[in-house]
Amino acid sequence: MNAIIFLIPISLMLAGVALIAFLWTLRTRQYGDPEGDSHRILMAEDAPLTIKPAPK
Amino acid sequence: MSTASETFALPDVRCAGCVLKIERSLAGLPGVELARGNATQKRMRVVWDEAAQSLDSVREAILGLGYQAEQIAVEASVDTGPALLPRLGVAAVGMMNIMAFSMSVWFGAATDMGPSTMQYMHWLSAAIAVPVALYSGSIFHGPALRALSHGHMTMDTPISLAILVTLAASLVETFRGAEHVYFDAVIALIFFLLIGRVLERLMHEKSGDAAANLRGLMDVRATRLEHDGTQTKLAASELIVGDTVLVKTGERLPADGTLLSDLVHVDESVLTGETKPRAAAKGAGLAAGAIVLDGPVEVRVTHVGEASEIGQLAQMAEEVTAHKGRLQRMSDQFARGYIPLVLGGGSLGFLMWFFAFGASFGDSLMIAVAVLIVTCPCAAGLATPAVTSRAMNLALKAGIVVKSGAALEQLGDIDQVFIDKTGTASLPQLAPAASLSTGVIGAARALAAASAHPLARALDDGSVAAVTDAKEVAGQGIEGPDGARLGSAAFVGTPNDTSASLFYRAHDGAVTPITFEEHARLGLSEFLSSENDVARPVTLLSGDSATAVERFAKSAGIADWLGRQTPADKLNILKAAQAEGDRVMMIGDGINDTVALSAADVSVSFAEATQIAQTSADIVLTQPDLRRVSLAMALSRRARRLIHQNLTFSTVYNVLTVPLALAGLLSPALAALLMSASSIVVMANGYRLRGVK
Repeated sequence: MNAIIFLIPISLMLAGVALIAFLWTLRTRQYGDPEGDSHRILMAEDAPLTIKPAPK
Repeated sequence: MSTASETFALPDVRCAGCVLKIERSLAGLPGVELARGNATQKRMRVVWDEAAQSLDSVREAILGLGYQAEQIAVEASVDTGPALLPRLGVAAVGMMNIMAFSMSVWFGAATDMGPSTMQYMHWLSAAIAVPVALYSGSIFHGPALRALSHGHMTMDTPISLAILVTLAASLVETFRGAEHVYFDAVIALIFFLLIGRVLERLMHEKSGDAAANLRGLMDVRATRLEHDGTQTKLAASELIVGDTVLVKTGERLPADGTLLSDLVHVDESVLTGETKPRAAAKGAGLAAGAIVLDGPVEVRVTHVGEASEIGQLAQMAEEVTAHKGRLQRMSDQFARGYIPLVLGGGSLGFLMWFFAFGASFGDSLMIAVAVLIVTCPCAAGLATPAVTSRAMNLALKAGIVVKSGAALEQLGDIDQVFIDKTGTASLPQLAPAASLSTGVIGAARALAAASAHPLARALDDGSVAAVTDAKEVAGQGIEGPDGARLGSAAFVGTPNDTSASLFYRAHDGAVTPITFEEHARLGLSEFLSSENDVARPVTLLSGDSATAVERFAKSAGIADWLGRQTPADKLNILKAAQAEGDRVMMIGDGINDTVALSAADVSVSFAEATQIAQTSADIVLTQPDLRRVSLAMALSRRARRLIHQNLTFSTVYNVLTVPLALAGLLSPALAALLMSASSIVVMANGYRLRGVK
């Protein structure tokens, strides 16, 4: 039973981390442009693929 | 190396792809360090090295891709109240964890949980609940406390009270080591109420703030031409009257001004709702906010900031929000009288269950809290503003400035319409056949230039300087210092036996009639036929001679007309109609209409009318098109229907839920869910109001 004395605070701390992560997303305005960001991931130009010649 | 940073609005960008295309293309230019677009707001921030690029070259680059770009000053963060989302996040995390503890206590009570473990769970819940209830709940505590310090109660009072009472009771129980605590109920309550608030605010932002939108249009950068021929860039707010500004193609005018260049086409849709470009010739007045379509042009600034036309529109729009309509005031009063009832209902619920039915303290408390939350008249309070704010905004977009919520409400049930003739129903033009000697016409024009009457405006072509010290008698005429008079037949003292509407009497007593041709005002016939469809009488009221009024009434198809009306006559006719129980609308534009405009239930004027007529009118049309009166009436009728739906809904909601809560059938969390849902239904119903075209 003593396990919960440690485990509950640890789980609360994990929840706290999630909360801080959420507050960070708010602070860094990650909800400012839902439209653009959803397209950006599709449009972003990747570095061109360089296909290595198959070794003989 | 110095860098410059500007934000551009991209009004005609249609998709996120276009924003990214502009971004990539700008980033490829030499000297551009950052180009970051926001597809949701249709904006782009660009940072560049001033050695390689300039504001103009960046703008040209965007124009070159086929998109409009207006540089805008990034607004100071608009105060929309305290941030809701962090509070919602904190409440969510708090709720999930407290629920986990409550669950284990519930199940543990049935199995083998010892009292010390239960105590441990309670203390952990308390440790989470207290900060969450204070931080996340501050949205409700703040306004409730502020109102309390003034001796008032608001909609937030019962909510704040419910939170604090439940929290305090739970803390006491925790200290006593009792079995039941209600931390889960407090936090669930806050969580659901905050969800409601977030959705409400989102919808409110979508409806938009008309005044702020208009002000935003003035928030541009201007190019001032200095005397030595150099150009200075500055904010529009720094301009002063008399400055000369250079406005390029696609830019907004930073201030009202007179055109110094030869000819230009401007898009004044933001001001007038008219999407067709207007051609303006040298010397014409241009309004701030209009977009120059074929620049560059030079403009001499005449009015800046709040004095400009668009600034005045913004002020009027602001008055609207300050000026509450009748229904709005009613629901405010209702809410004020209702809050003590809410508190009474909560206490009643507790006392009834605790003493009469012998329920436990905890159960009685939960019932009392549910009553406090569910009886909150939030939906009733939102019922009217949810619709009116949207209606005003839609009207403004169509070029109709509704100056008061009351006017918007009354527009829908007008029984009679009175309309002024000259300048309102008709546009006078100097008859080409008028055989006047140049001497007479010059002297008449000098008097006319000093008057704002539509006939005087039609006579004055700007060729003669105005007479100074002229005295104007409203609805009669104008007299010069030498005794020369310009005005009605009675004013110059001649029997009216001609069809002329205006007479000039020289100081030697020689009277010259001046004839005008009258054209129906834009949209008059459509307006009349739509009034005819609903069988609403329209009466033409004019200070003009009876023959002239009759002629125009016949040609326009107005059955009822009255000529030779002084301002007092007009007022009496309106008063008589009102005495019979009719609600009357007056449409007018002149000084002589002012009294009638103020007396009418709803009055309409034009943006080009005399200032005093605009001030007295409830509704100002930015474009003198009478069809907009019909549009405004249609909008008002639909808005009223939605308001009534909202009021009915919120009444039914409270009538149904209060007995349920008193009967102990609603948990506090469910009550919070219902209350939020009712507010959202009311907001969403207001949002159903669509444009007027």
